This record gives sequence, structure tokens and C-alpha cells, in this order.
Amino acid sequence: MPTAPDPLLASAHDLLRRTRDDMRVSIQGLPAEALNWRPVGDDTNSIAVLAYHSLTSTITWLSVAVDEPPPGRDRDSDFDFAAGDDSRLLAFVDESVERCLDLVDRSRAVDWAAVRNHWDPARDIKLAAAWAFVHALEHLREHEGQMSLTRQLWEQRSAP
Amino acid sequence: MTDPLLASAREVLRRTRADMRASIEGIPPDALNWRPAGNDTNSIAVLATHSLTSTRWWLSVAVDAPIPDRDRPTEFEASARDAGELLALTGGLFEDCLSLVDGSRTVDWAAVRSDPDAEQDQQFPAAWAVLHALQHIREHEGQMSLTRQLWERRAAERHA
Repeated sequence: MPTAPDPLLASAHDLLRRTRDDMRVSIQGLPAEALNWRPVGDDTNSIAVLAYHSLTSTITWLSVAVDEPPPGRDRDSDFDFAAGDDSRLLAFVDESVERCLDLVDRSRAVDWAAVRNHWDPARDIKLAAAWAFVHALEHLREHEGQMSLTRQLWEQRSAP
Repeated sequence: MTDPLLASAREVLRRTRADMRASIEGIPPDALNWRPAGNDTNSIAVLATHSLTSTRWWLSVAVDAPIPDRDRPTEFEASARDAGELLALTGGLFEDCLSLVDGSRTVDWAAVRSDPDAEQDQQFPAAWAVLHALQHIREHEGQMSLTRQLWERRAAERHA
């Protein structure tokens, strides 16, 4: 007898797709200069950095949540990322979201109260699977919101 | 045992309360009500009012609590007289939100909920509503933080 899909995983599927669609709107049609522009200098991040960092982080934290091996990661280098053009950045977004969707496949069974280790073995931190899952989703959306505002700022700056 | 999703939601809300406080504290009304790219963007006062009112509403849907009154369009006209007033407003709304995800609750995250305001009957699991609430507040908190950075740069340039 088939079991009902986990409601957290099913919800994550929908929310990840929505965020992908919103990220695409923030990226599509912009020149490389706009994608790599930092609105307040080095204290802020470009659209390209926000996309790369947030999606790399989401893949990592979803892996922790569902107890898959997290990918190797050099977090500091996320913030040096630069986009060549919008089509390559969009391809990165699409591929990354597909990896996220695989991780939250509805057929999985996850014990959300299970204790997990932080993805960085140098940090001896234990956390609940549910925390890693929620963090993956909320952190992604935090940066998507900044991508959207950064695009508006760029367009205002570029307006005649 | 405490529901791990409720515990994670409380952690996100507490962290967001601290982040919002950092975005609001110590800046004048001009800054709180400033729209960084004109009327297509929102001020810190609007982002705080809208995101927290929305979060309280969606958390009520998620945990099947009575739905609070809400006039969504007026949230985008909100303005703050000073930081103290806005902090008092957000502080009260955060308390409401935290009580909705209290650890003593028992929630069936697979239970079907619907959007009481939707013109068409939209149904989703309770888990979707809580995850959406948390994503949405982080999206706008990220924009508040960037808006404050933009304001501070603008103020520094004016005084240079």
C-alpha cells in the first residue's frame, strides 16, 4: 500500500520551484555588468553571488536535512563568484534547483527530529534535521529577496 | 517531545526579530520610510509591517488558529514616526507569531488547509503554510537589511 508523501517534502518541492521562477525573473535579460554589480560596494553582494551562494548553501543544508553526504564546499569562495552572462547563470540556477528537488524527493522518509551534524566537520554542532531543512529554505528566500531588490536598484540606476 | 518543525520555526522567528531590530534601531523616520528605488520598492517600515502581519496570518492558517483581521493593501502604506514606534509594533507581532508556534502545540502537518482569502479554493498541507510564512519573512528581512545599507551609504555620501 503506498504511503502518503511527507508534507514537508511535498511543500518544499512547490516552494523551491517558486523560488527558482523568481530567481529567473531577477536574472533574465541582464548584462554581465548588472549581474556582477554590488549595490553598496564590497559590503553587499551581486545578483550572481547571491544566486551562487544561496543555492550552494541550500543544496548543502538539504543534504544534511535528509542525511545525504553534503557536497564539498569552500564557502568563502561563494562570495567571489562572477557570472559570464545571464544564460549561464540561469543554467546554474536550473541545475542547482534540480539537485534540490532530488534531495526533497517525495518518496523519501525523513525523521525530522533526528540529530544531524553541521555540514562543516570543523564545526562540532549538532542540530535537528528539521532545522537544517527549514534553514535551507528560509536562507534561499532571504537572498532571493535581495536579488529582486538589487535588480530594481540596477534598473533605476540605468534608467535615463 | 517538542515538534521539531515548531522548534525550528521559533528559532527562525527569534533570529529574524534580532535581524529586524538591527535594521530599524538608530535610524531616523526619513530612513524608515525611504523607498530605495521609488514607489516600486518598499520602505523598512512597510517591509516590517507587511512581512510580520503576513507571517502571523500564515502561521494562524498553519496551526489552525483563528485568522486575525488583515487589510493587506494598507500594509504597503505603513509609515513609522520613529524607530521606537516601529520596534514596539514589530515586538508585539513577533510575540503573536511565537505564541502560534509554541512548543506545546500539536499540529498535523499533513492536514489540509485552505487560504481563507483566496477567490478560488486553494488547498495545501499545513506544512506548506508554515514554510511559506518563514520564507516570506526572511525574504523581506533580507530586503530590510539591504535597504538600511543603501540608506547609510546615501547618508554618508550626503555628508562627505
